[in-house]
Amino acid sequence: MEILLVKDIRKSFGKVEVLKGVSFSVRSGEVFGFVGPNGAGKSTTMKIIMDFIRQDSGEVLLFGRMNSDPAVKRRVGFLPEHPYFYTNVTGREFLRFLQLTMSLEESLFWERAGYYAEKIQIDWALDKKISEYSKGMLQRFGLLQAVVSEPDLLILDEPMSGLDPIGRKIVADLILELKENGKTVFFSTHILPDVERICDRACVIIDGRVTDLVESGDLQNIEDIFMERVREIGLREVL
Amino acid sequence: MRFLLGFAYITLKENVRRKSFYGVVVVYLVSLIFSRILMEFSLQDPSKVLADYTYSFLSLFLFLSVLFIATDTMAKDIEKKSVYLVLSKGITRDAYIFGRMFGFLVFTLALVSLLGTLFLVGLWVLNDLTVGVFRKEVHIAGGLVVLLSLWVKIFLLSTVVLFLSTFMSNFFLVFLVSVVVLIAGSSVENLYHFVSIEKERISAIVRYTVTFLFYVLPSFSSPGPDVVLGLQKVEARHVSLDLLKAVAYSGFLTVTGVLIFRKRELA
Repeated sequence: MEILLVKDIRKSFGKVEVLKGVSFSVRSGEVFGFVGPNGAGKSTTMKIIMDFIRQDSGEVLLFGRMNSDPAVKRRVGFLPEHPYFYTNVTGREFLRFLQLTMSLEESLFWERAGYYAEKIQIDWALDKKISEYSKGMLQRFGLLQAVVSEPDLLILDEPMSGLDPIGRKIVADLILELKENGKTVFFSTHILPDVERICDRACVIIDGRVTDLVESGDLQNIEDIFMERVREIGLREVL
Repeated sequence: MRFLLGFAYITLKENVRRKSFYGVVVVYLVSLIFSRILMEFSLQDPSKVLADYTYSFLSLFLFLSVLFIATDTMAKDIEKKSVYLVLSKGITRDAYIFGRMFGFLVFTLALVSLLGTLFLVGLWVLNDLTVGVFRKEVHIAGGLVVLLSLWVKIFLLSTVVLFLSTFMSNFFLVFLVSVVVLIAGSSVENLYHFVSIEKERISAIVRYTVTFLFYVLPSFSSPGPDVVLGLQKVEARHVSLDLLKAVAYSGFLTVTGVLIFRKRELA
């Protein structure tokens, strides 16, 4: 069953066409990688999926419904590329804010928060002010706020960025654990070994177009596929 | 409606932690002492001098604090994209704006309660130390009317800031335009009262323009220190109408802000 369907979306900012008809779908229970060089349109696609910006044409369906429907958003967890939190509060206070705004049952929420905070190894910092967090800690806390409501679909924009090797392993392990628990994960990255290691499928986006949909059997060749497409399009910045 | 609690919680937590918040309280305490010293230079009306200064400092600190804090809250939310974390939780854009407004309603109440208590208690204690035939009594009931009015007016200012944040992309621009609206609103109000008195001497075009601007721009004035000292009676009808206008204006800005924010691209 497809729980995320992106159909021929196009988006321009002024005269620059950033997305030129992007289409793909994510199936329930899989880890789907969204691979592309910087400026390929990954973050723009994610912002459209989350309804932060609107596509000029095309359609995005989440769980079979329009992505603007707030009810389906409650089933989604999102980590932006550069998570920015209210800096004057502690991590625990920010979580309390989420618990109140999402009207989640208090004891269950804190039980989950404790579990995932320990898993992501950010539990020791929850009573510190967020302004005191390092870049890696912010990324981990961003992941925590995305998973704490145990969403059915997790959308992560560059979840490994700013993390050291230990942090990357923690995130990768968590993604795999979520998959084991039947959750779906859609994440963008330009770190190809992560895709090989974690994903069931992936799609390659270059210059606003999806060039390849890579199935599990071909994932070990994703680096070759990616570099070949980059060469074909002639992106010197990547090479 | 529980989401409103969440916004009230985070707005209070965020802003009460600001060092500048405590700075304002300390500076206001200092200004109370300063007012008491200034009072010594008045030969005829020491209570009035004391009340005028303490009230001026109070309204100055309230308006400045809200201007800075409101701009720093929502304009930065959007500029720095922390709004993504809220909207991705199934909170609608409408709920986000209403939540922020409600957060500020609670925060401004806390701010007015704190500084207002200092104002009334400070004025009462310092005035009590005054001797002489010109000494006047402090009327707590009048003081509470003044504080209620100030609360409504600083909340109005915060809605102006939040409304501007719904479509302006830059933190500094929001701040600048808010200052312009504050100054324009206050100036036009004074002009309107002047024009009302001097009807015959002023041309019809100027009169109509000023009247039009008076109704279009928000009004930030409130009953002053004379009410606290019982020198001026509270005109219930006038104050009620003025507060009603401020509340209606806040409501209008909130609803318009919601409609604009629905369409906004949060790129």
